Amino acid sequence: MAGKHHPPEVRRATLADAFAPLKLQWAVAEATRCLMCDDAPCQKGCVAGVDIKKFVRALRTRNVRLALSVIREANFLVATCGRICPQAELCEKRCSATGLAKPIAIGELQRFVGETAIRERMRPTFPPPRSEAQVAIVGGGPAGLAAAYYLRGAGIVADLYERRARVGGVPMAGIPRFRLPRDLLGAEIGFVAEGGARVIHEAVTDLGALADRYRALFLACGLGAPREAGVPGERLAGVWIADTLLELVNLGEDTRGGAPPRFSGRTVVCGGGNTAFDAATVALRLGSDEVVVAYRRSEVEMPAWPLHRGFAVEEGVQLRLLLLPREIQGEEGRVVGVGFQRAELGEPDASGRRHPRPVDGAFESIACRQVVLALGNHPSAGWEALSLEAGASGPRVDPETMETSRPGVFAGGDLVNGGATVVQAVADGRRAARAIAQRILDE
Amino acid sequence: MPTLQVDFLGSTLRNPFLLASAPPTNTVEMIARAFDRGWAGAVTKTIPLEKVPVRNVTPRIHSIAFAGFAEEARRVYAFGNIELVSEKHADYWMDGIARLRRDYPDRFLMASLMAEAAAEGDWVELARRAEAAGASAVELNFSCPHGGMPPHAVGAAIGQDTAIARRITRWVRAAVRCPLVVKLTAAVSDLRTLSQALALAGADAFCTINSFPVILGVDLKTHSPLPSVAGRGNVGGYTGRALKPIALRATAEVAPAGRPISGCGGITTWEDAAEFVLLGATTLQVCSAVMLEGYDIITDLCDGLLSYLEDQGAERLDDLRGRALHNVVPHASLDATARRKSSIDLETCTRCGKCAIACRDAGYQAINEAADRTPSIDEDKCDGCGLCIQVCPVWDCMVMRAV
Ligand SMILES: Cc1cc2nc3c(=O)[nH]c(=O)nc-3n(C[C@H](O)[C@H](O)[C@H](O)COP(=O)(O)OP(=O)(O)OC[C@H]3O[C@@H](n4cnc5c(N)ncnc54)[C@H](O)[C@@H]3O)c2cc1C
Ligand SMILES: Cc1cc2nc3c(=O)[nH]c(=O)nc-3n(C[C@H](O)[C@H](O)[C@H](O)COP(=O)(O)O)c2cc1C
Ligand code: SF4
Repeated sequence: MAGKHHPPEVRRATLADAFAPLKLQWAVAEATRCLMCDDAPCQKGCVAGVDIKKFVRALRTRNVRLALSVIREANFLVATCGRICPQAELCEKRCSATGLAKPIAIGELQRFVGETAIRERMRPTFPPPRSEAQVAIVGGGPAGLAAAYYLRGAGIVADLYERRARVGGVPMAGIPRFRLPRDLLGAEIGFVAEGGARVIHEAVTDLGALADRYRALFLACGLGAPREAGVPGERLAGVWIADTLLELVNLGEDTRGGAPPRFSGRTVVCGGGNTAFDAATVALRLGSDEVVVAYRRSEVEMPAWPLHRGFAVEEGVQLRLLLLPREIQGEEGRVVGVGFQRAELGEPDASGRRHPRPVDGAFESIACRQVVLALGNHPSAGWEALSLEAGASGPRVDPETMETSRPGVFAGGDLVNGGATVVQAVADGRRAARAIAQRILDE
Repeated sequence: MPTLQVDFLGSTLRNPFLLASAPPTNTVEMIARAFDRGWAGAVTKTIPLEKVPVRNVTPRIHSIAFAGFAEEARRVYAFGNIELVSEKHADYWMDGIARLRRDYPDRFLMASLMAEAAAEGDWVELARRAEAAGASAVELNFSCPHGGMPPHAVGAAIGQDTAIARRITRWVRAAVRCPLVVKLTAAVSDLRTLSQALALAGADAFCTINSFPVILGVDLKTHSPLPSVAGRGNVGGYTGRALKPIALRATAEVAPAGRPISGCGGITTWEDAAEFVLLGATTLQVCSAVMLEGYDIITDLCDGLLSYLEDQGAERLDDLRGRALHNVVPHASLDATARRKSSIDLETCTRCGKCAIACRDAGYQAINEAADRTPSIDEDKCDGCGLCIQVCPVWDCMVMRAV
């Protein structure tokens, strides 16, 4: 999320790309700042295990091709993750150059490589297929696509089931297009279909039948349905579930869901995760005069990444803390405001964060024309049908192979971690692909 | 499919890159580790006979770096060293060469040798033992700027005296059948005649070049040359990026002798390597870049050079070898009518004004700055010297254009 963005007043007026283009000159100069540490700590911060030192070194001599193949080996979503990974929490957090001045802009260097590759059509090459139709993947998000990509790299052509009209999972349907333009993501995930993987647009309902039909199954269906607020007024016109709003803005036009709505006046977003801030910046671009994010705990407990928050705050999104939504107020079927009860911080809860305790009698309302609820998602359902052992969230898996308690059934991504990052989903998909390929090709 | 394979002195190498005789080849284990990383060959740290005591001083390596800002990393562009030949002697090395030969039969393993100028028996013994141990070739170190094995004046003292160098080359030539390489110093007045004389004396190939004699710096408090050994210093060997232009010149000068060349001096990137090939080198030796970043740079060197072959539409390095040589001509043969003038890309220009300073105080007063700092070239005044382009901090912002 760190990156060379267009100035806030420019970008907040449009759904077009918020990132400024990068030049080779910049990339080489930035790469030259790299200290080339021993046992580079940045690499330990990358959950996909990209050989960062090697790709940065290649950039120093303008060898974009080598940089690209080094990154793709571990993470095929090169430009995508360059843009949307929380590098400040991952690779860049450990950069030794931080002690001198500031960390190397690893994410932006990766974005440069990925965007150059797309512009110059530098496609991955796959070996001739060795095995077909023995592996099914359920879910065409980053985890499922990564499994398909890396299986293809091992010569295995998989069947990929996706319930939506477009593959790409949350990055396609949820992450706003100004952070991740559709054509850019489309180009990177397009390599999977170009490599021959069969994409079947169908919602899988009978996992048992699939498990019987294929030699290996990779479950990558992501999270379940969004949580409701459970307060009066949720059905009023002008009240949106964040996921629905984001998907409409991203995919409405190509799936005939309709054009994005027009907003006006003030919008209140309830939540404190990355989705809340994406919804807030989208609400600005849809025409809101003012956007307020209302969160029930304090800033310290907020799950949204600081840089992601900063991106929204720079654009003028306001933060209101320690507010518990109690009712959505309406007139003639339309929302006119949100009633909150004030809270104070209590003891830490199960998540380790301090729990918001309602303050008796302290109520306030914020008038608004739109409300967006971004309160997280339920865990995914459906996998129970395979009677798999449960983990902390979703089925329990072996962290090395991503295999569940049922041999031949693998799982990864948000489904098993309860919601993390795209790069984690890619890492899971790649790990599963490796284990599946080994199994199939060994036999 | 283009390949980096090269034929050198009767061996086929997977790529042209060898570790130079220097700290990266200090021990047999280190060489083995480098081979595992993909280096096509190595030259042992220079081997002395058992009877020669070698005792290094500390410290013995210093460097020059771009200081940058206080918070910026030091970036080394040259080393200076006063290190002697290997502290391990012929017994260790001959045994090690035999072991490496057995474990890595496909790698090019050269034994770097040094003995006193007059000691025919010592040179012959070293060369015979290296050949017997299985060395792919021997490399005679006629080029260490600080002698290499004090108190004897050897190394560059030999390479700077054509008669002595020729005599030793003949001795070794007569003693062994394996290929014989002479490693030269550029601190001589005429490499052309020297290399031709040594080719006639039996040298099969040349390594251009060893480090160049310098005083790297002086400590302003203690008045000691750097690196300082208890308050005193000595003329040391300049290596790394700063050495490359000298090594390129030497390579071009030795090429007419008609023997294969192992280019050496400042090779840091594949681009450097390609330049040496264009000036006639067959193999490429690297030391300082490995001192800075380790054996792993071999991937970058190979991958980059391979892409370059593809870009050039060449199948092998042989297709490019020496391509730049015929473009190195006397000044009188340059086309003085081909006029160029400077131009500025205002899109990338940062309005720093460095070009204007340079042209004002060291050029022809041809760059004007508008009130908003935008520079412009006065084409009538621009003399085309090219200085502004060199001082511009932005890549490709200023270029010379035909008029
Ligand atoms: C608004 C928002 C912003 C985010 N921003 C970032 C960010 O900036 N950076 C970052 O790293 N992460 C971000 N994330 C998290 C990231 O998007 C997820 O961690 C990631 O997408 C998980 O990938 P996945 O493949 O496991 O699941 P998903 O992306 O959810 O993909 C699952 C896919 O499976 C399909 N599917 C589900 N069930 C079935 C079925 N039964 N049959 C067929 N198909 C099915 C779904 O349609 C979907 O396409 C964000 C998440 C959200 C919601
Ligand atoms: C510390 C140090 C020790 C060296 N020792 C030797 C040596 O023993 N024998 C030799 O032939 N060259 C020696 N060299 C020279 C290197 O082999 C090489 O010719 C020189 O460093 C130029 O190459 P570079 O710019 O890639 O470093 C040494 C260089 C350095 C820096
Ligand atoms: S590199 Fe440093 S630590 Fe290693 S031997 Fe030399 S002085 Fe000692």
